[in-house]
Amino acid sequence: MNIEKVDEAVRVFAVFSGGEVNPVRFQWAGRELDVYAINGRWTDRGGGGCTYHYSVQSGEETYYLHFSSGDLQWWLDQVVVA
Amino acid sequence: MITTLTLHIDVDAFFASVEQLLIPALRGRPVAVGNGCIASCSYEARRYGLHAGTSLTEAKKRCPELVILDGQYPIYRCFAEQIWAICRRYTLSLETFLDEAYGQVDVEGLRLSLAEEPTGTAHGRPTPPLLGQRLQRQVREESGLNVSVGLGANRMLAKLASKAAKPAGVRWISPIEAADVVAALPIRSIPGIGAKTASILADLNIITGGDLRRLSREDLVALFGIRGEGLYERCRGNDIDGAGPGSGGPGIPRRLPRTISRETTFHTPQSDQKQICGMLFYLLERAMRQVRQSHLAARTVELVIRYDDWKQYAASQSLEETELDREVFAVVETLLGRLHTRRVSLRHVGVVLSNFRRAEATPSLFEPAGRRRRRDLHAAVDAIRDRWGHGAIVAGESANLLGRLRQNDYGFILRTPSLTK
Repeated sequence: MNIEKVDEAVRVFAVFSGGEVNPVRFQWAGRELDVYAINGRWTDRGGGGCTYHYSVQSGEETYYLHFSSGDLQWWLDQVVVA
Repeated sequence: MITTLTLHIDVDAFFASVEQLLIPALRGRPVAVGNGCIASCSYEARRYGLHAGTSLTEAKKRCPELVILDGQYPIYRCFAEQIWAICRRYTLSLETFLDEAYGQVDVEGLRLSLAEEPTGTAHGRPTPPLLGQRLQRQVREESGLNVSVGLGANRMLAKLASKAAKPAGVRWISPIEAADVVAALPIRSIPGIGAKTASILADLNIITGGDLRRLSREDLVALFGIRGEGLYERCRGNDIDGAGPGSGGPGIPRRLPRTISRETTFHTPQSDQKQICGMLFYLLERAMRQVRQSHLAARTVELVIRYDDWKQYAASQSLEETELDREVFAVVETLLGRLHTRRVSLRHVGVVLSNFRRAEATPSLFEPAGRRRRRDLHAAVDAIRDRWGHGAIVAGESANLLGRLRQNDYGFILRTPSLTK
């Protein structure tokens, strides 16, 4: 298993509904990737505002995304290749 | 009549379960989280005899297909907070640790809130296991993780119940069966009985809790001193630590903690005195923050060091009852000067605070002004850290670690953060 740290701002298509945010597709490295499943989610309530974290599945790869409510930006943290 | 119940919630194989949740490719595979030794491992890994504390070299020998991960402790902390937030909906109070928590449940409130449940009730009266199942289901739905839930009349019974329920189970030890459950346990499973005590008891042919009950209170006190009192009560299903979490059940003050410690292993063995002092100050700050949160004052500090050749030394010293970092650190520095005499790098350091007393709620009128100012400063710094994370302020000798160790909101990222709690 290979874990690649990325830490890049990415464009994400997400559904904001019912107090939840669900990423459905994102662009990274010139590719558009569909989110097949959200494996898990967690919220980091730091003093600077909430950060919403997701582990999402796209094909065989697992992507760690987060949305920062402070700067209203999505980030790709890491990619796990099984 | 019982008015409150104690609940013990234990997250099953916590760190490894989070990794398996977030990375589907790990599900069903033996997974260990740790650095140097296992901090947590999945149930698949446990089939190979692996457990927390096993060295990774040994683990890999026993299970070559083991997936070893460094761990992402800030993520685990977020999951823990989410789980404890769910538990607080069901409890009057909650005392949380890294992967487990004790809560107190109002039995009448429980009866009313569960009255509409279709199952698990006898003649319309809800049962404690129903609460456990509901809590467990809610945790699974919201976080994706499994917890084991134990319920009992006191902390000891609740903990024994959750242990028996693992993994992902719910167990209630009712007051009627409590004494029998403890009687059937091997003595080593009774809280407060370690290897040494068990060995002394084994020489007397005492193997189970039931055997232990044959000894009178006087016999146990004669054998083990004041601890004998506790053993006498525990083997009868009574908990000397009180019924509930936090400051204890109604009218029963909870025992003071024996120790509060923080320790870690350096990323690379360290001989730079500034780095060693920086790390010790950082660990001490974190331990002292917990001391203040618990409204305690420490009266003994112990320093533990381990050289690169694995030789370990420890020394302790009494101090004036204090909750101020600087006063304790002065003693730690003296101990370090006494212990670190070899010209060999240090691999591991730790501080252990003990001999606690409840801190005075009102400071003495005759307290020197400088001391009062320091106390106020600590209160302000603690409040900032509670809101913004420990890493929001880097104080004292900890500044020596700046630029050497990575940081996040929660402080410096240590090699073995699980050990620093």
